[in-house]
Amino acid sequence: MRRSYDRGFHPPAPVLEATVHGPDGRSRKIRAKLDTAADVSGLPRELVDELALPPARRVRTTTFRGEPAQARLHRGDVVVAGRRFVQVEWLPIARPYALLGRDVLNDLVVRLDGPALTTEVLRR
Amino acid sequence: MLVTGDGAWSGWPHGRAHSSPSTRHCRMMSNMVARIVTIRDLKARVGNLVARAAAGERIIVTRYGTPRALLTSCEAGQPVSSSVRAKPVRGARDFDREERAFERLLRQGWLDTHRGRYVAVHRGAVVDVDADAPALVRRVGQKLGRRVFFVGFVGLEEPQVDLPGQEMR
Repeated sequence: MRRSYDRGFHPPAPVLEATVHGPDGRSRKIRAKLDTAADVSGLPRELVDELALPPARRVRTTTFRGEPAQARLHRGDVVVAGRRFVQVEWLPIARPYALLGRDVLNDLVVRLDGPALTTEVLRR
Repeated sequence: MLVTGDGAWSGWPHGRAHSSPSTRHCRMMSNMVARIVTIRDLKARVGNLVARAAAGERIIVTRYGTPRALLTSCEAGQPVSSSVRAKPVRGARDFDREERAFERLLRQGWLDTHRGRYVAVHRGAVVDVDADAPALVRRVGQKLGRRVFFVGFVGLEEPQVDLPGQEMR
């Protein structure tokens, strides 16, 4: 499966289409930017509320200023590139798109072709 | 570490609210991730709570069910960001209750055998344990579906996580 980088980002960014599922069977499609620096994935807070994703745990982190902080993670399934990831932890974020962290990406084989601006999810 | 408070906030958590800056600040903090304790809890566990606040946790102290003060680190004692939630999270109350149960079990020493690992608490009891938090959430989440549980770390040095997009500003 191959997909062009999203040119709405500057510079263009690798994105995949994701379908997030709530506990009551509702689901929503959303574009998801790949974020290999993130330990967990992020989802717009409005979507977390809309799908009623239940909270799961708090995590300790450090802000970009180096200040200690805490965040609450929610849980919900997501389908990316035809693969279903069960009970992924989501941080509610103030963005209109999702961010896929290494908790999801480490289970995928992804080829980023920067010059061609394409993302390809390969079969294992 | 910093303690702030004005005791002037009625309507916890959904009722009328005064509009003083400190009140708005306190309400916004309550919608962020924050631990809520009573004055009695504060007296009984002041050392533990101060250590948590100094480590970055925000603790709201209530009296007769009304938030009266905010206990937080000196570094965090500044205006909250625009990324604060505007409305309560569904399941948050159950989540907070399970978290309090986790704290109680921790305090009473029931979790000592799980040091260095994560435990999942549901209906006030430990339902599963794992060294890998996402794996534990996945397993218990599959089992419990939409029912709320809390996953907490047993030990002093909980691993930190890098969040997507550095949203916690």
